[in-house]
Amino acid sequence: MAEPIKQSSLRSVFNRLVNLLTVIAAGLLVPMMFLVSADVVGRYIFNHPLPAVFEINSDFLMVLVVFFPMAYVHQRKEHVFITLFTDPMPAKVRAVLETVSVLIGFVSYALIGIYSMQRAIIATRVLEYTSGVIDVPIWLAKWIVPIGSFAFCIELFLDGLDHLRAIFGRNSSPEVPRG
Amino acid sequence: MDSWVVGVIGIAVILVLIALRVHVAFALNIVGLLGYWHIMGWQATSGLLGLEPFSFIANFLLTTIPLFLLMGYLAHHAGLTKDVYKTARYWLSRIPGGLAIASVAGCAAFAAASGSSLATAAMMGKVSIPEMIEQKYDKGLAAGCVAAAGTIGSLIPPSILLILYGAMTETSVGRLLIAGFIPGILSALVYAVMIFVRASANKKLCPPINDQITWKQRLVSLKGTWGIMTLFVLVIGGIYFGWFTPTEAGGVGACGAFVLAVITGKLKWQDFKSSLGDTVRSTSQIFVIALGAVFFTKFIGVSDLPNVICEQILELKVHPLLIVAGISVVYIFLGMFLDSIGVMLLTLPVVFPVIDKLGFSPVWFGIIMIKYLEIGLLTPPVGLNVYVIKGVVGETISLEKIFKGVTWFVVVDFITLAVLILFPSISLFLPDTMMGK
Repeated sequence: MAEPIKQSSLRSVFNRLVNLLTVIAAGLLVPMMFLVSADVVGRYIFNHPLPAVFEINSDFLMVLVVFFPMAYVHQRKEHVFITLFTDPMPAKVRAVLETVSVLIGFVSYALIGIYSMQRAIIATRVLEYTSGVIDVPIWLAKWIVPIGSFAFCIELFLDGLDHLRAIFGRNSSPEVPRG
Repeated sequence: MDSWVVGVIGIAVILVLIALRVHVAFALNIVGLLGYWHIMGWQATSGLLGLEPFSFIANFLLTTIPLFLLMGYLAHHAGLTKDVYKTARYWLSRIPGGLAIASVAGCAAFAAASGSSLATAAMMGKVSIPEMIEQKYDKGLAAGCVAAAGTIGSLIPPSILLILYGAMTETSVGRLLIAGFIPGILSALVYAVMIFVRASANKKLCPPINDQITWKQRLVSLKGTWGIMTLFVLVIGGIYFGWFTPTEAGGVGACGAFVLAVITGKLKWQDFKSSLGDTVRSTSQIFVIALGAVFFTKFIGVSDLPNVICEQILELKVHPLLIVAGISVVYIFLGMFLDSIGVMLLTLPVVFPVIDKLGFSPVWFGIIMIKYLEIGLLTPPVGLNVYVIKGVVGETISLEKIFKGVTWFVVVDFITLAVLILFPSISLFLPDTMMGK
């Protein structure tokens, strides 16, 4: 009986992390929105654009807004998939197909996570900066992709476990795969 | 095995995986990676895996997508959807099918603040459908007109789809966005005329309304459009006159909508939070697919498939417009089963080089493609705009009824599409006169 409890506590800790990542991404939309306008206003009125808006918005904020909420979006079943052809199939077959999808996603994002982490480590070793009026620490931004990807992987892994449980029909587990 | 054959197999595998409920993004991802690996070897593939996710997303141009999405949500919470619908209703309610035409006009106006068809349909649907039902409008028409008119959200700038198209094909996003304006208005006019004709012919479809609205009330109602007009001038004017780049227009537009929502006192903290949450969720959803498409595009690029197809097509020596007609069939078919971003990103790596080689304007084809994709949003079995409207109306109207309701809109959409294909200047006239390029 200990297993489901362990599972659900792992879930709840991870869910908190997923929520935190999403809240960070949502909150950072605010500076993203204001920085661009401040840059335009600065250029027209004070004849002086804000430095580094380009790098901050694209290298930091954009990457973060895309990668950090990925796990959360999967939790809500909002990544796009088509159920038209699988709807008539029996529940077990559907669960198998869902596991396959999750597995493919897991492999893809594990690879993205691992190889972009290698890049992040290299960038951190040499402390990669973009040079400009303000030097922006790009090495820091390079960590956003592996963090978001690994969180996504863990979510896919936990989701896959839920599906496997449904396939092997262990009634001891009260959790039913969502969707 | 020739590498182009690997390309063909790759596309087939993706379609099978998607049909078997594999996430669209994951199918593109894995096939792209495996195909690239097969042709280029692991060294190159691992390089792609390490570099591409960051370098593709860390693109200033793409920041417009979350910012325009945010602008739409904020504008909605600022009450702009209600305002534009109310004004359109005051002016149009007395003519046959007036409320349905007002919904179309409202969608077209709100499209200036919204870059997504789904969001435009969902937001306008909440406002206008209940009123049409109350006035005993035919339920299919009431729901169908908003599902269809929502698609104007992707034509009238801003447009998320056009920005993605520009980013994937390296076509000027400023020109693309401005090019969508007249086709968007044309689509709305064609819808309006169709509703008017049908409502005039069949009084049961849209029973006349006994509103006693004076001209004074109508004129006063125009005040309600100042919000959308401000955003229109700011964003579309800004891009057209070159006050700022299309990329900056996203930030300026979102800021403008935020300021509007704050000064009208309509933006609650809860609304603001949900706007931010909705924006990051939609952004992540879009870019998970786009990132899969990046790997797939690289794979198709090295597979030489586009070149092989181009050669075959050029050997056919048929009229280029016939080829465009052939491509239409492919899009309409795929649109029946796939979402619009998926269809676009899956087909672009193969179709775009062909269009380019045939000498067509990439801006013009961008608009034609949006029209294809938008028709796909309305056709069963997977017509996402119809599902969105179903979500808005709940149990009051059946899915079948809404699909039936959009049929006439799809029919006239084909007329609009044919006009846009035959007369490229409708799309290209405005961007050619643009000041900011």
